[in-house]
This record gives sequence, C-alpha cells and structure tokens, in this order.
Amino acid sequence: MTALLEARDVRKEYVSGRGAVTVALEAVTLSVPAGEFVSIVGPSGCGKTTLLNCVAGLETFDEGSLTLDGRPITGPGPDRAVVFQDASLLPWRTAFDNVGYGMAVQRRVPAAERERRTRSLIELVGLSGFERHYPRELSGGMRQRVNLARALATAPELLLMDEPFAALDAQTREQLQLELTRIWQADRVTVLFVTHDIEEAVFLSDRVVTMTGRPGTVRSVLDVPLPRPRDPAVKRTPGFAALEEEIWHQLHTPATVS
Amino acid sequence: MTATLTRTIRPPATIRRRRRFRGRKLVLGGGLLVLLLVVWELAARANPHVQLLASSPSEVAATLVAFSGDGTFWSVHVLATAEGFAAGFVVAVVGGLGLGVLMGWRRGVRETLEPFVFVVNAVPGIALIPLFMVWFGYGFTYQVVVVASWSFFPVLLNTMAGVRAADPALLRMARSFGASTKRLLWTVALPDAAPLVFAGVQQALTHAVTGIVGAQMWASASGLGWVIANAAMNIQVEQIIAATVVVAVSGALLNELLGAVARRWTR
Repeated sequence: MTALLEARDVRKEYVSGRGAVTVALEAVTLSVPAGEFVSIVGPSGCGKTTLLNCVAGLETFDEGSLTLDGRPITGPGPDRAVVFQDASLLPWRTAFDNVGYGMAVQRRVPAAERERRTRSLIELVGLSGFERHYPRELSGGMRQRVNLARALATAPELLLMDEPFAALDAQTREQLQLELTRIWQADRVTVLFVTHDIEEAVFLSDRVVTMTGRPGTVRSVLDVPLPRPRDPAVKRTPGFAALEEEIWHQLHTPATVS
Repeated sequence: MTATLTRTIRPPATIRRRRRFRGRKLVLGGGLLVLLLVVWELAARANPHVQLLASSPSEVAATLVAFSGDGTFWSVHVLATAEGFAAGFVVAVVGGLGLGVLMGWRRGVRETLEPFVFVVNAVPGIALIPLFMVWFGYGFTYQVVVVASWSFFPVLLNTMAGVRAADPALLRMARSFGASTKRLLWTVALPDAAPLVFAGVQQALTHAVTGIVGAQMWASASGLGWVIANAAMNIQVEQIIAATVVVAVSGALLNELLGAVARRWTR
C-alpha cells in the first residue's frame, strides 16, 4: 500500500541576492500513510517549515518528487489545508466568517452547507458563543482554534500544521494539544505536524520524523506505540520519556555513516 | 493617617477628560467662532474701511439669504459647481483606485510608472489650469479634467501604498486555500488597504473642491468659482465671502459624510 503523501529525494535551495546558495532541503524522503498523525521535529532552521510549505504548494522545490495520493504536487489544492503558526485570521471578518473563509475561496460546497459546516466546526473547536467576535477580541488560543476550524472545514485529505501552538503559553498549548487529539480521534484526518517541541510531537503522533539542518534532511523515523486515546498523564510514563530521550539523541548527536 | 482615610478617590485624569471632552469641544470651538463674528461685526460698524474690505457678518448673512431666494444661484451656479466637482471626483477615485491597485499589485507596472507619477504629482495643479483650458476649452470637460487631475494622486498613491503593504501572512493563507489573484485582491489586499484608501479619498475630496472652484474662477460662465471671481471684479466682498461660505460648508459636510462611510466600512 502506498502512503497518502510521498516525498522522494526532495531538494530545495535558496539563492541569495549575492548569488550564495543555501541548501534548505537535501534528499528528503518521507511517507505519510493515510489516517496517520505524523510529526516532524527538528531545530529551527532545519527546513521543516520549508518542507511543509512545499507540501502545501506554497513553495517550489528543485529536485525530487512530492505526490499526494499519487498526484504530483504543483501548487495549493483543496486536498490540503494549512494551519499556520500565526493564526492569519482576516481582522475584518468575525470568527464565524473566518472559519468559512477557506470553503468560500474553494467554492466546492454550497452556501447553506458551508454555514452548517461552519456551525458544527465552531462547536467542535469549542468556540460556541464567539461566532460574532472579531479576531482582536479573541485570545491567542481562541484564534488558533479558529485557524484549525478554518482548515478542517475544507475537509482536506491532508492537514498541514506549522507549529500552531508554538506562540501560546504552556497551559493553553497543553489544552489545545489535548483537544487536537480529541478532534483527530473523531475525524482521523491525515496530519503532517511540524514542531520543535519533542514532547508535543510524541504526545500527538503515531510517528515522529526527526530532521537535522544545514542541509535539512530526514534523520530518522520513529513509531510511537502509545495507546490511544491518550491522556496527558501518558507524558509521565517511562515509555513516553524513553521516546523523548530517543528523539533528543537523534537530534543532538551527529549522524553516523551507515 | 486620617487624611489618607478621608481622601476622596478620583478617577485617573485620562478618564475624566474623555468624559467631558465632547461638550467641552463644542462650547470652546463654538464660543471662539461667535466671539470672532462679534468682533468682526463691531469692527465693521465702527470703521467703514473694515466694512468695505471685509464686509460684515450681518451683510454676509443678508447676501446668503438673497442667494437662497435667487433661483439662478442654485439652479445655475451651485449646480454647475456640484456637477463639475462630482464628475471630476468620480473620475479621480475610479481611476486612482484602478491604477493604484495595478501599481500596488504588479511590481513591473509600479516600476514602470512610478517615476512618471512622481514627476507629474510634483507639478503644481494650478499651473495646469491654463494648459487644460487651451486643450479642452471652456466648459464641462475642462472642469472635469482640472478636478480629476487635482484629486487623482492622493487616491492613487494611498491605494498603491495600501495594496502594496497588504499583510503577506494573510495573502499566504488565502493562497494556501487556492485563492485566485482576483480573490486575493478582493478578500485580502483591498480590505487590508481600506483605511489607507479612504484616507486618500478623503484627501482627494478636499483637492476636488479646490479644483472645481479654481477651474471656474479661471475660465467659466457659471458656478460658485465664477460667482467669487465676478464679485471680486466688482469688489463685492460680501458676495465673495458668502460664496466661499457655501463652498466651505458643503465641503465640510461632504467630508463628514465620507468619514462616516469610511468608519462604517472599515468597522
């Protein structure tokens, strides 16, 4: 069985104004099976966000191939949706209208269905009562809920999340991680989640990809055999700690030639 | 000890000031206006030179009443000014918006036209009046061109700056959902630019009023500008001032109206 997302030998380089070449991604090979929650962990600058942007179709790459369900990725498409690090909500639209924005742009569902879906998603992400609020009237955590709902509303095959909880305070982050596992448990959408937080990656994922930088490349792929649904208490178990330790080592020791 | 306990608690200065602000502004501003009118009236009555050169509030008021009763004032002069103003203003806003969006969005267009725009914008509008008169002759077209040329640039420059400064994070978000260029403009770039665009349109309004009066003063057979120029030739100061008051009050009202619209639109 082939995976939903396949990356083969993806290479991406940036050429600066003075002609200096920086290799952002080198020989990145990765597969994300349908229905799985896969995280990419790595230090800042390792190219994980660049990889996510390439998958989203927001950036181009120079070599290799990226396919979704066998179709090559050439640009943004309705089969993918992105949850951005900064919520990127339209300040002149209410929470309700922001949730519906992605659907409105794609014009694949009729208006009545759009409204019904928006309502149920607002409820799913716990924002009932805040439909008429503008982004500036919402807390950082609530804005990220809108951000997530907007992406889920388009019913993507692959949900791309770019450090969505990085800018939140620790408590809000933990709460949203928990809610994300709850939502994911119900929906089972395929997720590619980028983070620099090892604990977050282990807690959320079925599989954790570690990346190291300069040039950005995949270091290892680790299965997370922890049972679901997961409770925050799992973070205090020895099995969880061992996985964290393993990933930490992958990220902090130089690669050995195999 | 006791002093501390019995001290009355007062809200911070900023809160108190805000609460009194509106009424205070009205009383102070209106008071100064009334005072100036009284001084002007008294000076005019005491000194015939002042009366001759500056007229007086009562005489200006009487002239305004006479204007109101005079059918041609409204049906000919005010109408001519309103028409020229409105047509020129609309041309400037539509043209400025269109070209502004194009220049803000397309780097190639911007870089091609920017030097040209800066040079033309630096030309004093009044210097173009004789040229436009030669090109378009007396009449409506000439007035529209003058008004449009005076009010075009604030709309253009502000629209361009606003569209150009559209939040890249929001544009990226919209693009991730597959938004077309048209959608990006309508749902992200233009709403994001709206406050700046409105500021430009409001500035253009003032320029348009100046433009129409200037155009009609220079070459026209009707309009408030003509009334002013004609009165000046006959040294009828009270008519100059009365017509100016009509222009100023209309301009101020339009400006307020536009401000209200802008506040609604940009929420």
